[in-house]
Amino acid sequence: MEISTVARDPLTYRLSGRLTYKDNEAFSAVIDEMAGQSHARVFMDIAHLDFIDSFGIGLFLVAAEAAARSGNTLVIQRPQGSVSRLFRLAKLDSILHIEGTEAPQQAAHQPGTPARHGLWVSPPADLDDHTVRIELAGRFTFTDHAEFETLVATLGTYAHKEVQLGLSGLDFMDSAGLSMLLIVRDELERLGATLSLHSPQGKVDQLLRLASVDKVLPVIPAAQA
Amino acid sequence: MPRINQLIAFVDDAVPSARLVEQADALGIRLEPLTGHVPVLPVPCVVVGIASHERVLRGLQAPSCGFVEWSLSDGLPLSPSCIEHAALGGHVLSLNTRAAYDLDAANLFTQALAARFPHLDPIIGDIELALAEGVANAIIHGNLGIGSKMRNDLQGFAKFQATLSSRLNDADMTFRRLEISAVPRADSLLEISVMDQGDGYDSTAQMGRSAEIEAKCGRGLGLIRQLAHQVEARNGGRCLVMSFRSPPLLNQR
Repeated sequence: MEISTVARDPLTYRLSGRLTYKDNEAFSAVIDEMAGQSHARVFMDIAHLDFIDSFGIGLFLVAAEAAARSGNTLVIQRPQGSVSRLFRLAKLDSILHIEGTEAPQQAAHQPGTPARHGLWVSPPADLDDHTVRIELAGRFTFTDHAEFETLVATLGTYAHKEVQLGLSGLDFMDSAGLSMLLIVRDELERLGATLSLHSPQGKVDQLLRLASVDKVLPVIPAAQA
Repeated sequence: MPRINQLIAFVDDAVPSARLVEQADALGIRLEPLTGHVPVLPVPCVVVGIASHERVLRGLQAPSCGFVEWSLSDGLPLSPSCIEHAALGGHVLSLNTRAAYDLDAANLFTQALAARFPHLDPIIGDIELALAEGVANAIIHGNLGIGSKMRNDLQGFAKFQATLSSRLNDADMTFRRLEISAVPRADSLLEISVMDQGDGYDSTAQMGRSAEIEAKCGRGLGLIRQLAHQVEARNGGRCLVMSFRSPPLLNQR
């Protein structure tokens, strides 16, 4: 990811590229700079941000909290495409100040538009003491190992729990993505936990049916999820 | 291969290299510099050049019939099979392995097919999944030569990821070509080919194999067989040909 200061008054940053766990350091410097402002609106133009992972979303939340502690307001401008969609899926519009968001139909994938949008994994949400819900969104293919590893890294905390993977935001998955889900199931079983898949849509639902995954893993359709 | 006289290749550089000119002459195709948009012409045309997301999109969108990566540094010839398929009225994409991996070749190609052949809409989901499986196999097992057994558990998966990263940075492997082409055939069939430059495989044994429900690898070909009307492996497993029966006759361009 690249981050640059495009205006000083009001303080405005422009982010472009891919915002992931690798960008912690650059983003932290921005958070420090924002803390030096006083009762101001600080803008982040993310129109050219192509991709964001769950860690990146966490960075925005940290930045917004840091800004609020200094009496400032962080305003995120013009999220586009898959970034905009993930903001909506994560319901960040209820937490962050977001301006210039695309309408949902515009943000949907259109033929001919930039195509690469990989897997996004939401932070876990505790539904109750024993049940954790994680949402997957975007495209889950053989190229998404890195994002998958961020999911795997958290598995140790789910011992003896029921883990629900929400798939309603997942546009596409190939057999490599399916294999990764089966690895997650095996690891969870080793920890005495269970895995279920919820609300698969369209092509993802088609893949699960073709591969008869419902015979080895609970797949809960949208109507029951 | 017979000379093709019905195709124009637009090149990003104003002055194409002598080697490219020589290759185009041998194939009997005309080279033109690309300035701005690809013009609408009465003969098929493709965009040739170094791959970037924008250039590949420009090549895949009408009126162009495809994109063929070509660079002086990789030493590979202008792909004859892609040129032939484009001249036959098909749609083509030829990239080196790194570009195919980075640019999500299967997804880009599926979008291009959906735009050029709108009546494929009822089966475009089948095509996308089958093509994604074919391209993943061609990249991982074909050009990068990574076996499928690695991904059976978490430890194996970590090893797989490390091997993948390492081979994507191996010049000999990443310069290997991945080619996708879609050519309308008789009887409303759309023939989609995925070609790699790997070592190939025992296609007779693999094509007859069905994956177990619990399998964490080796599902791709089984899925493709379920999705396509017909599947065939050629050239010792380096070329996978999938035929899809499309709703009414394909409307070319």
